[in-house]
Amino acid sequence: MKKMDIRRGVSDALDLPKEIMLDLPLISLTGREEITVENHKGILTYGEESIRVGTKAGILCIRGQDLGLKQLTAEVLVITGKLVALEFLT
Amino acid sequence: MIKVNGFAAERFMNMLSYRGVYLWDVESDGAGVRLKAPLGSMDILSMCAEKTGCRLEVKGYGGFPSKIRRYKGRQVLTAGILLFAVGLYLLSSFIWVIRVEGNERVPKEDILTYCQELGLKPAAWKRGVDPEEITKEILIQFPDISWVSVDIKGTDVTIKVAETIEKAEVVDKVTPCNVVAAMDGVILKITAERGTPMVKEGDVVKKGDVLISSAVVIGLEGEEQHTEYVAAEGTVTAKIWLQLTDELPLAYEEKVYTGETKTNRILSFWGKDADFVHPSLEEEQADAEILFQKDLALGDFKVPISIKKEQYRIYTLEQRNRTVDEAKAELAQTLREKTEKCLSPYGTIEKIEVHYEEYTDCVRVKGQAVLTERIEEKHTAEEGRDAIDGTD
Repeated sequence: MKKMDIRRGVSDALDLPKEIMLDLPLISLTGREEITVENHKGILTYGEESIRVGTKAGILCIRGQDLGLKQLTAEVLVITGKLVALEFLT
Repeated sequence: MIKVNGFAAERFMNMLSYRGVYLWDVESDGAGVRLKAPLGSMDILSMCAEKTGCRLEVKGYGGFPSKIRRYKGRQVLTAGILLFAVGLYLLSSFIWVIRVEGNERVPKEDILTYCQELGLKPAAWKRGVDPEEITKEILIQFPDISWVSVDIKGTDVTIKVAETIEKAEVVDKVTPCNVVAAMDGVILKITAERGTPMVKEGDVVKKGDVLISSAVVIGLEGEEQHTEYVAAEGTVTAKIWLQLTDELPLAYEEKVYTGETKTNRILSFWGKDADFVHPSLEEEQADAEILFQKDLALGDFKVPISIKKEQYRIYTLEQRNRTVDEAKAELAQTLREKTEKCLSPYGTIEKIEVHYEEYTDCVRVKGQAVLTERIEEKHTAEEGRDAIDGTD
């Protein structure tokens, strides 16, 4: 974790975007109907009411109704549906 | 569209996204998921399915590539698409609309006509137009324009101009000239700014008489004198008389509208009316009145077709007679209007004397208007000067 701390210090000092320096996810919400997760590490479970996405910051659990994956590439993941909760599990 | 069955659907999707396969519209469907993937990635898809132990089921094909496959072998359609593309390219390489902005004193038509001479006109080949050349030429041609920008955007040309500040009117103060009378009259007042006054108050002058001479004698009396010629200037106010006659017949015709109207619709092409359906007016007399006129346009582009709607108000002519007093009043009014029309902004009407002659069928009027008017008029004194020079 030493390496990570140095990186955090550098990005804080130089005001560099953390999602690039620390490989953290960048999560954007459009109202409560669309969520975009950049820098994800893959889907863990997939269902209509909850989707779990692995990220560097921990497992992101998205809960809602009629969830669907609109887009999935190596970098970007777009989920649509009626969002209820966002939770980091670890 | 593919259906994936099996418990490790998430692993399957992760593996695909890791390998750079784009997946979209993922929906859960019972035990498995339904998703869409590119057609070209079928090999990777089946390989990953094998590795993760999922079963693949192709539900159908969709999207642009499969649609194109349906239209394979339809050559006319392909030719049509190509022709459309070529047509679009060709049409967009002509100039369609020319706009002029920012002009106030220079008429738009003048600029457009000059541009036409330079080759910038609607339906001109776009490549053949050099905006810099036109900018230069317009600046040379119109001295009132100080800045021009010719901008070609798509098929539209916008000519933006900025005009110079208006020049003040130059009064020629150098060329010698006399001030002469423009009308006959009696001088009321004479003010000479430059030059020698030749008449005084109360003098009767005829048209063309010199009022203020350009010759100015320099030097005191008894000493050596010499004459210089200047541009005479000054104001001369005089009383003038204007003779007026007019006559008005007692009988006249008056339009009486019957209240009946007829409407007519006209389609016109290039300003020429094509009147297909015309209401019958028979022997009736009518005033035409355009109710509305609309030019048709396709978007911003004007089509030379317009729709007009006309209304005819039908009237009959009736013989009327006016009384002598009415005629006199009307004549007095017309005389006053005529006099006012002759009047310059400096003049005033002193009085109008009228004398009526009554006949059985008409009234004649003789009038004399007394006006106070400025009668000075500049007249270049070339000839007079030569004559004076000759006598010296």
